[in-house]
Amino acid sequence: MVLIEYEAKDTIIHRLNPVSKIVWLGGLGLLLAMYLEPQPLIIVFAWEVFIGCLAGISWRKLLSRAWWAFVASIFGGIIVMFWVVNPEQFWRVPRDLACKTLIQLTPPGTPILGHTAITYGGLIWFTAGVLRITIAIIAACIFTFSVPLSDLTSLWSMFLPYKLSFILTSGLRFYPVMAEKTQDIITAAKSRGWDITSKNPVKRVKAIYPIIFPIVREAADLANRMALAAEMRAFGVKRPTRMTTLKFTPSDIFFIMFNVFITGTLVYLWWFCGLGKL
Amino acid sequence: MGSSKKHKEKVRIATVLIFIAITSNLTSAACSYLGRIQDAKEELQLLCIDAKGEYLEGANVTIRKRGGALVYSGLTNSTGWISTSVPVGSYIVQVYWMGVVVFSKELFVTGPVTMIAQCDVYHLTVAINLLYLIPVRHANIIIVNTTSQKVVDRYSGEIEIPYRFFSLSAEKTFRLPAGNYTITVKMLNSQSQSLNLNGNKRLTFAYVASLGSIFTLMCILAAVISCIGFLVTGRRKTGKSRNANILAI
Amino acid sequence: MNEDYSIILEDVTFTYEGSKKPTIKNVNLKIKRGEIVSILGKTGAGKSTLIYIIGGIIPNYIHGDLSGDVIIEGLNTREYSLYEIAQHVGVVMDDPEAHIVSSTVWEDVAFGPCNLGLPRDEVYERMMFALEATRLTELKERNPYNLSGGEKQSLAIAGILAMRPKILALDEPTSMLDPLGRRRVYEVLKDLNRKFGITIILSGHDIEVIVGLADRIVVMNEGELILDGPLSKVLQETESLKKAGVRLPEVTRLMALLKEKGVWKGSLPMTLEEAYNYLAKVFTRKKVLFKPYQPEKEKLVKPTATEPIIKIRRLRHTYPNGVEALKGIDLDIYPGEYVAFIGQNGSGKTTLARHIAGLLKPTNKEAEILVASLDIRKARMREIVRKVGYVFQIPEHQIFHSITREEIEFGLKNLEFPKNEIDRKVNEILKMLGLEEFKEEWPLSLDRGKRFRIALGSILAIDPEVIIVDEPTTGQDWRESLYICKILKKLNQRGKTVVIITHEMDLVAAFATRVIVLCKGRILLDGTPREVFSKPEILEKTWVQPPQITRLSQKLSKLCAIPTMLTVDEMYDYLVENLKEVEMTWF
Repeated sequence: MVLIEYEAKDTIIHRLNPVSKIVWLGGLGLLLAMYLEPQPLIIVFAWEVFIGCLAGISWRKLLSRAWWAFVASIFGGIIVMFWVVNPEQFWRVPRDLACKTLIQLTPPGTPILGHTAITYGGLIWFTAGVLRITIAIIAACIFTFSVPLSDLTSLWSMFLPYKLSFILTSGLRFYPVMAEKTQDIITAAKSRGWDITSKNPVKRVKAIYPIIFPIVREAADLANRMALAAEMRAFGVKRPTRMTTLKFTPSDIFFIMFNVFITGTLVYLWWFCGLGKL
Repeated sequence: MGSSKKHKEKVRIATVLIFIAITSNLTSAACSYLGRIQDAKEELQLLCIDAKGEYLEGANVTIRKRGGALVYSGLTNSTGWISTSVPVGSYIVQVYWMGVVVFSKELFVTGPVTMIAQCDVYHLTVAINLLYLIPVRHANIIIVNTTSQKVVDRYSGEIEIPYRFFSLSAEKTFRLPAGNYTITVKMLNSQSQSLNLNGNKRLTFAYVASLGSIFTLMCILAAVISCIGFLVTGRRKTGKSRNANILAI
Repeated sequence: MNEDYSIILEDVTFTYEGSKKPTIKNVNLKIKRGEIVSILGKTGAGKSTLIYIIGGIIPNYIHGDLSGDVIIEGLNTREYSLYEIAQHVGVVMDDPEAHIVSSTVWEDVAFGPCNLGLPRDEVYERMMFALEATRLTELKERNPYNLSGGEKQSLAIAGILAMRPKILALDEPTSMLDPLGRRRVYEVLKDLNRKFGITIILSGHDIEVIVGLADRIVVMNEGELILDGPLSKVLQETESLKKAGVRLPEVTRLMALLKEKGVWKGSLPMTLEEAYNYLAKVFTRKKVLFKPYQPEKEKLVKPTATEPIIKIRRLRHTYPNGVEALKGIDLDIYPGEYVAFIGQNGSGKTTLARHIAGLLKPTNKEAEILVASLDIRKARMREIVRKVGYVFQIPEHQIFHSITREEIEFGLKNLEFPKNEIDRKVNEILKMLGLEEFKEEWPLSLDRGKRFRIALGSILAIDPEVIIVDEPTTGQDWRESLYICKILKKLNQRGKTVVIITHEMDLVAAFATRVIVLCKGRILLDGTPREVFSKPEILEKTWVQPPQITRLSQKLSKLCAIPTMLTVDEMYDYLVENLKEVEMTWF
């Protein structure tokens, strides 16, 4: 999902080969999957912010585009955190410490809800969860900000048929266009008194229809016209010429080495020393 | 006349015999009663805990009479208890840990007794890291009593890395009686430290190397060097953008 | 002989799949190399279909029943694939977004040649040619998403141009653009034709915008070619043009009226310069003395109401990307006014209008927006829509029902109007907007003009006091645009306050009672149309040009005391009135 589209800049991160950035993303993804503790994730987050600053990303723009994802992760995390009360869920954190109740919500045996509370272990889990989602979003944004779609297409076409990889990157390219159209459609519905704030869940579901139908239609229409435009420009006729040769420069090699060593170290510490485990 | 004298003689003898029988029975009864009092035992239960309040399993407990005669000797069970019966009387209860008396108390037993022995056994936590940063998961630890120069405890094997919020450390805890000790940790290198153990203490060995820790250190160093290399080579402005090889034609 | 022609259409008839009626019928057309041909006609005349046929899109991509021969540079479009034909004729659609496939301008332009597998040097050469021809060289590293409308359309042209076609077919390339954008595109096309000899075919609604560009005009009506010839010749056929729904330039209309009156016997001018030359000769030769002008239809800036219906103070708006769209707006609009917001794209017109409708909130706390005494900043949307109705530029964004009647009911149902009132209002709106016969039709099957009316109807059904219409003329032909403006005028006469955002200055001059010119987030001018259009030097800052007839009168005023005129009818009446005593025949 492209929250921030590519901007041609001459920064250290932009000059990196996309493969280097994919190695970085891969390592990051692995760490995010493994690490459940907030402390090492804070270090990963700091490193990522540093990369973002090197890339010259606009943090304000990122926040304005992605605020909803952060809010959803916080909100979702809080809800799930209430049920993190079972000592069996913790392996490394001492169970008595993990299940130390800070605020009791519903006592054990409450019908439907069961036992809910804010526990020390739950807070750690929640913090780590929010950090992981934040890191993932920022990493994706840095990637799409610094890698042009044509490079992505070329990369993917190493594993997928060229047409399919082009379709995938076109989907990314049209995200901001569709986001803008969706906003227009919602605004247009509001101008006729459309309201999704009804408390009735059936009404809320029904209220989505005036939005979904035009969005789907616009997306299909845009895709159809784009397909026509691409075909008119001989898309898929031959293997396309690569206009840029992506070489591995010394900075790519160093960057990959750094990511491999750091990821390897953190995986080792996770496996053998339990770092990041809950 | 003669037969009535003989009859009185017989009655007199019978009376004496009956009196003797009764008296001897009474005497023997009294004696056996007195003997039963002298043989009675009371239950004695003792819980041994260390300075942190944790049970001392396998501590040697002795109960001696005042004169020094050993009445009981045994080891505490997994929950730190011993249970025995002793006759009423005065005793000295002692607990030994690693051959050292860690608890001693005089006790007068008149009935069943349950007591807690707060022993002078302290926790010594040995933390083993390389450069304070990388935990060493396997190590040989030898603890020598500085006074007696005898090895009081040793450990060789995997060391636990407990959960800590802000640090990652391999730790092994020993329970030792108070005294002066020299602790030596051996892996690829060896490091020793001495201390006077008079309370629960933590000792950090920051420069112990193992294969795993050396490997991790080298990876971290390589990562730092790579990062510096990346920043230096990446920042060097060539005056060209990524597309310059195409657009500058 | 046929070798001289790059495009030959012989008896071409086409019916879309699923349609009963042919969209184009028996079209015979030959276009020479290097010509610029404009295809004109009202919406639904078949212009886009003709463009697609020339481009080979029909029958290779869009299927239907095609009869007759279509020969493009010697290739029959039935026998070759789309990409093979695309190397001879490139088609540019009206929506430039659909053409953009890459994340930088230069990559997008190079997309076509790269797909042909050409050597890198050749791709580079074609790319640079296309960038220079469309004046995008400075923007080559930019993300296409951040370009203006005119630049995006230029990029779409560049992308096609890089394929090195000899023919460019453009389907309403400027319908979505502001005047600046249009100017840019037409200059690019002119250059392409003059410097490189590229044949250009473009479809549109009105002649004024293509005068000075096209050599030849083809007029379509109901799928048939009714006129075909040089511009000067076609322009003389005013009746046919009117029947076909083609809007003549204002100066041509003026002279056509004078010709009808018998005053003018010469040929009709195509451009303002021509009209000026004709009239200047007459006025100086005849030594006409013009009387002072008393406009009957002039409306006062401040109507009789003392309290404004829209009151805005200290309004500022900064978008999340940092762009400050409004920089402190203070504005009062009174009940019964018909206000036009004009200015180039990005001046803040739509932002201001959306604030009035409550669709955007100010980014400064001290801003004040009151509409009919309702504080828009604090009111709920349901309260606001009863006061202010907003009709969007793209009606498809609003339409989702399968029946026209339901679409119009939508707003009323949201606001929980009683059923009988809903039925009554809907019937009234259908009648007012001429949609009665389409009430059971699927809205998206209707033409663009009717779709816009449906979107307008759904807002009018709620009966708000203020009606805001955002660019009602985009993509519309002249008749439809006029129809909508007349509807709004009727509503205005009934007491509604109307706010219209548009680039069509002649409609502004004809209908608006007040014009507000915005430039870079501030109000540049505010007055009656006559007051505003009398300041062309200020309007230039925001790339707005007064209507052609106004510019003519302003130019003529340097010769004689002719006041600023707003509409063709006004100018005609004035001239006829003042030339009564003068010998009426002019040559």
